[in-house]
Amino acid sequence: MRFRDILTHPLLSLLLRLYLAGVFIYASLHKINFPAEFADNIAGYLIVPHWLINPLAVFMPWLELVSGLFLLAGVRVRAASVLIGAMLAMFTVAVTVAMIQDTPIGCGCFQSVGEAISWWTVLRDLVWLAMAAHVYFYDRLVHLDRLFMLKPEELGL
Amino acid sequence: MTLQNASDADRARYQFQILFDTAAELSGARYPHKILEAFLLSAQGGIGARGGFAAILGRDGFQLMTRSSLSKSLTPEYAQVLREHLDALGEERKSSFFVPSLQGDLCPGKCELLLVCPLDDGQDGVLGLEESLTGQPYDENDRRLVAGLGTLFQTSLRFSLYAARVELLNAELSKRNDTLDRQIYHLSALGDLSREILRVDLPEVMDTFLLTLLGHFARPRGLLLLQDRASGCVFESSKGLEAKNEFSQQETERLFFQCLAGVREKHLQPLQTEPIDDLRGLEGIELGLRPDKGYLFMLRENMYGVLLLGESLGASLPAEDGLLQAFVSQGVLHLKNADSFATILSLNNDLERQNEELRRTIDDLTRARDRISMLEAAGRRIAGIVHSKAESLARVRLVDFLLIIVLSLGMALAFNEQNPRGIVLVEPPGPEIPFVTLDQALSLLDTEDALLVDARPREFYEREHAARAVNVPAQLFDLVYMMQMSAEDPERPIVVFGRSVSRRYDQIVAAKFLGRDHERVYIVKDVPPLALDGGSQ
Repeated sequence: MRFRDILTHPLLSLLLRLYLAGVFIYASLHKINFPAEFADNIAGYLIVPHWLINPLAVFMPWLELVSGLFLLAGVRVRAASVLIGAMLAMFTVAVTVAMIQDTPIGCGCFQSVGEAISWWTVLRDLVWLAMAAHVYFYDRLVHLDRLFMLKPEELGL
Repeated sequence: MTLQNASDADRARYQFQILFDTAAELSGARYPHKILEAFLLSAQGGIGARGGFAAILGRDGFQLMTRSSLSKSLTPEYAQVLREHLDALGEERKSSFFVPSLQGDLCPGKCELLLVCPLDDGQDGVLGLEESLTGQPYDENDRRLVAGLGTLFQTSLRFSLYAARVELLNAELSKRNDTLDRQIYHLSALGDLSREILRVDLPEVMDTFLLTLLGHFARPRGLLLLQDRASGCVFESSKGLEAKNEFSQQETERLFFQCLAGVREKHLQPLQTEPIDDLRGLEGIELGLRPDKGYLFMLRENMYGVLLLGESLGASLPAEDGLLQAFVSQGVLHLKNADSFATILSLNNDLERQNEELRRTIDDLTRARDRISMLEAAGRRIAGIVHSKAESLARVRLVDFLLIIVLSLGMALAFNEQNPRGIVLVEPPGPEIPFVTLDQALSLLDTEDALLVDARPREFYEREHAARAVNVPAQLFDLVYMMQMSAEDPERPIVVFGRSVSRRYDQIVAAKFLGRDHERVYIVKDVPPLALDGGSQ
């Protein structure tokens, strides 16, 4: 089996999908419970207007959770992977900008305190972004929304 | 000389008289043997011959000869010698002539005169005369008389033969006429039968056939039975029976068995008709008639028939048998045609019924095909929908994004509403806090010893802040206020600064100061931290 085949194998994509789902579900849980802290984290990046901070702090953790659950269940996987990819791209840009401006803030990725942003954070987000792209293009195993769907060839027509 | 002349005249008169008498006698003669006898007697008497013979020589021997002492001498060998000799003379034989070369010892009875009279068809009349009673040789007058008699004989015999031939031809013609009349009658009768019987219904054909047959042959009673051994059907037609019988299957079997026993040929072929020679076997069967003639025939395989005729009203002629046989054969042919027509009719009915069934089947099949076509179209439509649905699942659609976003938004709003640590989505407008410019702020700091409060988070404060600024983060306001500012004079002006694009920390902290009964709280905005005192960290 060639390396390209391994790299594009649907099973690998399934593993990446489950991993991303776990990461985003886990990341969302604390933010959902403590939206005010997450709002402060967002505000620390200095790129979101003040009137959007609270709605974003309330909405984004749930978007992470729902997207993660969709990835986990294999429902609307491509849309979920696109949304997760978009969020990762946004996080990457935000962290990159913060790193460039040397803004003294924590990452706020999983917990409100503790983890400071670094270039490793940027790299990690980029790796996750690549995983999301892989899921988008190659994932086709264990999809709940196709489980009960009759395939056209099964109709015998 | 005169006496000699008188004698010659008498002799000539005598000869003429003989010729005359012979001619008269021969004129009434019809039969060749009579002519032969008259010829021989006249010639023998006319010249005074001791004896003689007269015969008709054919190609293969003597055909007719007179009774005489020389009859036994007319052997086939002599006839052959005579024939060869005459044939050697060639074809130039018209009138009668003497054959001197065969006279004398070569001739039976050593005849001195041998006269040949050519007839028709290679026949010749032959007259032989023995020596004269006087012993004298025959003279020229005698020869002339015999030649004259020969001419008469030749003519008479020719006429006689012609008459005989005409009679023979007449007889033969009459016979042929009789045969022809009989044949015409037969053909006419058969034609009548064909015209009468020209029908297609089997019982009707049987009735007509039997009726016509009985009428032609003057027989008042008759019975015609057909048995289909395959189906067990028995068709019966009878005329003039003493008692009307309904033949059971067993009786019919017995009747056919007895008829078969009475025929010469046991193995019948289709359309074969066999006369029943021995009718005694039928005596034990109650037929209603006393059969005089009977025929057993076979129409086709497993289809047999028997025809029984009662006694004729008139005398039965032998020639009737042929006609009767022809009648029966003709009738059997018509019965066969009727049976074939019935078979064809039955086949046609079956075919019509099968056609009807086939038409219904075709209609059913057509409907089924239409239904199948409709179901196939529906199936294709469903498959298309499923295929489209499957493709839509693999495709990224706007509705999928909307689904996730709306779901997330709904759950977020619902959870935030119920969460004790929930936050407001839109900050409520706080109390009216006056803004001051940088100069006013510096004036307040310098002239009224105002308190400069940096409301930003600690990390931002520590990175850069004004020298006179006190860091009071909004999140830690209560703690810092309790620890550091609880003794502050409420009259002391407070200048708060610190806002970013994402947070209005100054507004929050100023509102909290107002809440602590500080009356002179001001906000200076849009100024860098170091601008408030010109100092550095």
